[in-house]
Amino acid sequence: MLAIAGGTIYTISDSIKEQHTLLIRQGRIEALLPPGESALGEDYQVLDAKGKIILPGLIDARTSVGLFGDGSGFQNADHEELTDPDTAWVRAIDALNPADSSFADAREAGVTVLLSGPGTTNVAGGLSAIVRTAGDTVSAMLIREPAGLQIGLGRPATIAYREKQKLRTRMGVVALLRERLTAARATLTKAKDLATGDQQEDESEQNFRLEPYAGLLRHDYPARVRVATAEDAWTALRLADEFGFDLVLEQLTEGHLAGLPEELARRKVPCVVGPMMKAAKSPETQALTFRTAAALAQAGVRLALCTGHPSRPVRYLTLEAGLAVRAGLDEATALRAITLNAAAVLGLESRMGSIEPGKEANLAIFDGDPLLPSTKTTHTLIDGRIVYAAP
Amino acid sequence: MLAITNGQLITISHGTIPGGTVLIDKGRFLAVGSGLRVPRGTRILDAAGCHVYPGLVDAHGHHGVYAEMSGPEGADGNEMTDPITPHVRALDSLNWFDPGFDDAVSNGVTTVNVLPGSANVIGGQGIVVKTWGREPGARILREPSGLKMALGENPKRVYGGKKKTPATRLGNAALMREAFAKARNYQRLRAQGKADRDLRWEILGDVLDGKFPARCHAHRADDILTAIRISREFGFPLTIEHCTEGHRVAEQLAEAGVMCTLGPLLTGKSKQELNNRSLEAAPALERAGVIFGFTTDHPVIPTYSLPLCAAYAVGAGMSREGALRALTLDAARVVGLEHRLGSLTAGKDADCFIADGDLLDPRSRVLTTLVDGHVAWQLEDGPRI
Repeated sequence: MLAIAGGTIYTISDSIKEQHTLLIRQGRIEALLPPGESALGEDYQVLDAKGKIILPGLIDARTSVGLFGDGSGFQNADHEELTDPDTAWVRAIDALNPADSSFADAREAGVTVLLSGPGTTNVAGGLSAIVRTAGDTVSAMLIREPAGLQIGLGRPATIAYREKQKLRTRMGVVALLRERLTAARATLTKAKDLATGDQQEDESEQNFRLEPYAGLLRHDYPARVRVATAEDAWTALRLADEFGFDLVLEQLTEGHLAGLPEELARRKVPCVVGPMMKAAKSPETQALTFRTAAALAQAGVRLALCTGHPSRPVRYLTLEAGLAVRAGLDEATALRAITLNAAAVLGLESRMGSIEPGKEANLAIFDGDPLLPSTKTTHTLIDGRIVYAAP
Repeated sequence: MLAITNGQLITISHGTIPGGTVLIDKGRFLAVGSGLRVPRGTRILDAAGCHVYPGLVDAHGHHGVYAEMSGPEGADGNEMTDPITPHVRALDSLNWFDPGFDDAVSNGVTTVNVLPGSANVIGGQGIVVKTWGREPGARILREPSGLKMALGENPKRVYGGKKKTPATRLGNAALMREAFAKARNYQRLRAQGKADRDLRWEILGDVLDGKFPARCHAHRADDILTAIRISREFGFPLTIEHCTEGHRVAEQLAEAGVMCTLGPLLTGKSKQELNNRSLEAAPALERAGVIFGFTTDHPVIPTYSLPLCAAYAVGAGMSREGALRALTLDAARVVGLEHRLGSLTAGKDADCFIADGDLLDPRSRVLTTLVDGHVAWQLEDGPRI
């Protein structure tokens, strides 16, 4: 049992609490005690947090951490199975390396939980996972799998598969998805028929490869769709209507345009914006601006921010929040976008993302303003256990 | 005449002046200080509550030679047909209207050393340009600004893949040595009237004569030491470009008197030679007394992230003053223009910007940027990013 004493607590779900004491028991937040109410039992180990700022453990809602081996070149570049535009049937857990140094970087930056999934080049990149950033094995880190089917609309696949004559246009990208989803719907109908004894069982490879799409149609997990242009965002909405799957939009370079903020708010589509700090702009990303996050939040969209690691390394999650604030996002919403809203986008808001009794004790403790690059993490806790302490 | 008044002046050269005035005339700083008399009729930019910094210098970028939005058609930074191309000039690839320059100026970056890429062992000549100007010619500050060279992974990947030399670090160094040996021979024969003019060896000869430095891409510590070794062997001036393992060889760099650019930071470790890159390089180089400027390697990371690199360097233990100098005066030294750029000092080019907060806070916004005394960009005309 642990008592974190005297810090300024950004609860996220409630107001900022000055000089409170945070009690942790059995991996969960037990209580927040106001100053003076320090009736601690002797069995509490005390961590002095005077002058420190305590946030819920940060959550990065979209990365390829652990799939892309940091600093090891092609040897461990396992984040994209670029052999076919449809690799829906590959699973992030099968490439996730708990020993990758970016998990240590994440802990050092106060990031406690993240979604790790295949990259965004393939039309269907594979099934992603939500993991804690500490643990020796995938199973020890795992929170939820599959967390979603990672889908990419727009230019990347048409560039990657142009020379192989597999895909050339946006029409082609969407037709491929529509074909797979239609086939998956047929397997679901057939499964119903099987259950009623009208059909013989057929365990073909095709079914194995369609299963991830069937999961979408069963609402087992959402489609997490990367879009850059407004055009592609509207396409994603159209597909979700047509097939009736749950949708999360990622990247959203043009999320501030074409009536998207209002429409996404109306439909309650969760959005993961980022990474924003990107150069080498292409026609697809020419409208890139730090203002996207503010435009979406102001319209009432549930907004999370992400690094897209390795696109931007996971340790710079707070920088994405800082840049969004520069362009008009209010600071409380920016912090929420890397804590409670990120948890919500991952379907975990009842378990984490804010500092309230009963939630998992994932915490990030900073020696100053969390949005300043010169601020250091002093401690990171996952399930009440200290997984990083500043030297 | 133009005056910036009431600002907190971060002069770099002589400390911070609260409520100071910057007087600008004919494209240069006329006076910088507090209590200056502003002549009647002077255009005034009120910087009350704001910070005023000298224009930032990106000591190594690829603006214009890898233009934004232009894809393979605009990728003109690496003449990847021969590992030794000293005669090519970034000037001849430079797209002056690259939106990357606008992103730079709107974030306070007023000067860039544009270099060819690192695919070739000897990649060609760089050019220092302003990021804004009334016409392209007026933007050139120094050309050639140096001769780009490269050790490490890039040349061996490009040529090894074609089964050509260099396929290894052995090949990288051998080709570099051979080129300088040829240049020495050329200089001797040319002096004797026995050689026709050859642009390749002439440029290498200029480096041997110390007219401008070789600027050598080196991330890994051993590559850094190889560059120093070859420069000593032939006696040419050198800067180390990237220097991301500088923390491992800071003393050797200091002893060799070699200046560096540091970065790009804030990126993924996309290749093996970045495996031991560390923000610790910044404080380590500072402690050893090595002069360096930050580089974004734009478009590897966007040019406007230059001050963010400095901000994280401070987080890693570099002094605030040192980090600000590495964005300005020290970067100007690295590109050989400290007499014109890098501080709010009377007589220097009137390149500066007004920000609504501390430059090292990502939430701060640049409000106005001046280049050569002209208002080059203002936030009130609409944000760029």
